[in-house]
Amino acid sequence: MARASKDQTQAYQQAVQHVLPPKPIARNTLMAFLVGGTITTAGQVVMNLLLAAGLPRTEATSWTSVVFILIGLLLTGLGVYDKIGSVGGMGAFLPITGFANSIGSAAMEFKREGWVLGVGAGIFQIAGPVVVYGLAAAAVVAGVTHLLQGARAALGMP
Amino acid sequence: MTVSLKAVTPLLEKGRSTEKGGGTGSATRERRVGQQTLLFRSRPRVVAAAAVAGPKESQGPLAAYWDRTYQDHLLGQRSWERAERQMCLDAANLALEKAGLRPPDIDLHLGGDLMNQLTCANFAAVELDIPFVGLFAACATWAEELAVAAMATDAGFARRVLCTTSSHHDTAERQYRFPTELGNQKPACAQWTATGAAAAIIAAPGGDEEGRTGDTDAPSEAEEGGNGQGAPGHRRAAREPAMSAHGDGTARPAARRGGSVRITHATFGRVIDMGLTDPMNMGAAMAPAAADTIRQHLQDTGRQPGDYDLIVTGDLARYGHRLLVQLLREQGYDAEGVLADCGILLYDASQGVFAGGSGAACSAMVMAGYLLRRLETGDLRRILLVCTGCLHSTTTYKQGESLPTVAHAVVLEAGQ
Amino acid sequence: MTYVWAFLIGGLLCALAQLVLDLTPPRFTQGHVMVLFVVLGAIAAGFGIYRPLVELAGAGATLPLPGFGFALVEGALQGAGKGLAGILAGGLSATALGLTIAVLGGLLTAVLFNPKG
Repeated sequence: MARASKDQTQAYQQAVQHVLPPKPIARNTLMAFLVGGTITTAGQVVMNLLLAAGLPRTEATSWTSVVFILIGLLLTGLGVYDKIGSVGGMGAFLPITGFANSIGSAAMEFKREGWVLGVGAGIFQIAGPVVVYGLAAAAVVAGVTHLLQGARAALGMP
Repeated sequence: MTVSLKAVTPLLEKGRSTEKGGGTGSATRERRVGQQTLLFRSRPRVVAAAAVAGPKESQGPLAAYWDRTYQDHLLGQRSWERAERQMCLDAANLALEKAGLRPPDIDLHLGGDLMNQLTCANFAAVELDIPFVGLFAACATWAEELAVAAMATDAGFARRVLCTTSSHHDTAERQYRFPTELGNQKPACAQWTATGAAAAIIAAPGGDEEGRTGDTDAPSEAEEGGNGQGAPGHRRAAREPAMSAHGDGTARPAARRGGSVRITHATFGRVIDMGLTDPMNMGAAMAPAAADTIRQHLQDTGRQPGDYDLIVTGDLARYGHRLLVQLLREQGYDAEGVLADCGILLYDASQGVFAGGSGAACSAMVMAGYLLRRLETGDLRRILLVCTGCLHSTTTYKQGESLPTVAHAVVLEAGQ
Repeated sequence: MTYVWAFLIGGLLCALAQLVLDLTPPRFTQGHVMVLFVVLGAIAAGFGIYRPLVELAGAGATLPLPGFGFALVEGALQGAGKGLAGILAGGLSATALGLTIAVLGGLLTAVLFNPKG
């Protein structure tokens, strides 16, 4: 049987790590910081414009997200977002533009398999887990928070 | 300073039964050498071969060696998969043209690719209309095909065999990883799936004269000067990259002194699983399989690495290559001087391909375009082509399984 | 002044996500990090510590995915007045605009553009 034992795997893993270049963690973190910060600052610009136009805060927040979803989709469609992502890493993926990129790229890709079975079924392939676990987490958290409302007030937390 | 791989070598030394293989009669002994290597006494010939390349590959160091290049990696088709299929067909037709053959002259078509269910190979086979056998060994498919073709022709089961293989960066990305416009980051050990295809026609010597429908005996412009070195500057006049996005360009296959290269041996590898799980680091996963097959081959044939001008692996790329050198050294073989890798040869480091090329077409293109040329001009006398493959699937990856790998080897010799 | 905070907080959240991505084994992918941060955002919202961040950094806190988790929880809590049904429906309702635009926009993107590979 040509399957390595755990020790052999470990020994080999060490040799592999030795041969590979170290991950540019510092550079990646810096780029994520810069790209992410730039996107969110642009977001704040849009937010302020909407607030100045008279929108109440909550609506301004929602519409800012909408604007950036659209920006993300546009850059994805133009074939530019994958380059932003390879440079910015999570700086491009954590903001809502990354969420939009995952939806847009999936939609475009699966178009060749048809609108129902391809796009329809595949559009949330990457973004799906965010929605699924976001919803689930929110339901649990909100439920628990609501139940503990009294305790939280007692602890002096807002 | 390197980490010792002593713990690993027992796995790679012959783990199979140590019974002498093939002990039932002289016929088997004539065709097998040692425990795992096949000997082709009739020395089947590579009658002709063709390699076609996508945009990135046509800008790389081997640009002058492609029979046709494409500026549009969609080839004007409506899907990546159709584009890959078209490249496969183009390569096959170019090889047939060069050999002066037509599909009815071919007894068997061996084809493979990286797609689920061998999509591109199957659909290309429809067009070629030759009895078809699909083969899958991931990126080791090309050597597997050449070996099976040599078996068929040497034993007389076929007079002429057509081997084709293809891969495409975007069909692979889409199937194995993510939608192509997704902005994900890749590590330095990731590899770039080659976009291209290759075809070769293998024939039993003597048997390939029957039914030839004419000769492409045009003087070989490409051979002038006899310099088979192939530095990127040697752009041969006969090699015009196709301008048309639909791939039906003006490329004229350069007729050359073809058919002189022989397949003399083949060693099929056993599947090795080192327990690695990261498909972004395939080179490291495949290096042990390459080491095992190379060692077995050398042991079986009684040869040393120096008996070959080159031992070329398929797609170990930068880091897998280094690991292979180490692994072989641990087993007593100093092969560093002759070891090369198609994934490293195919691209220039500035092309943003991380550790190097991969894909079923990587080794096929480099062999059919570049290595074959050097063998035909006598620049190389004898090489060992060791194609390496990673045999995981997207399902096994999600289920947390490790990566089984394999390496198949064939010996190519410049003949008289 | 919110601009500075938007940059700092937004950048910091992304930098943190990048560290998580780089320091975890390869099988922990970008998708996993996204899920983790949405959930963390929801939990932070539950503890009431995300709202001050939003007030300080504006888009710097709402645009990244933890902000999505936060919006879901806020919406759910607002629905608490209508009992359990309100809580369960509240999250999706609050983010419905974004999700619908994402779907419509995604479809439009597929209509207008092709992947370039």
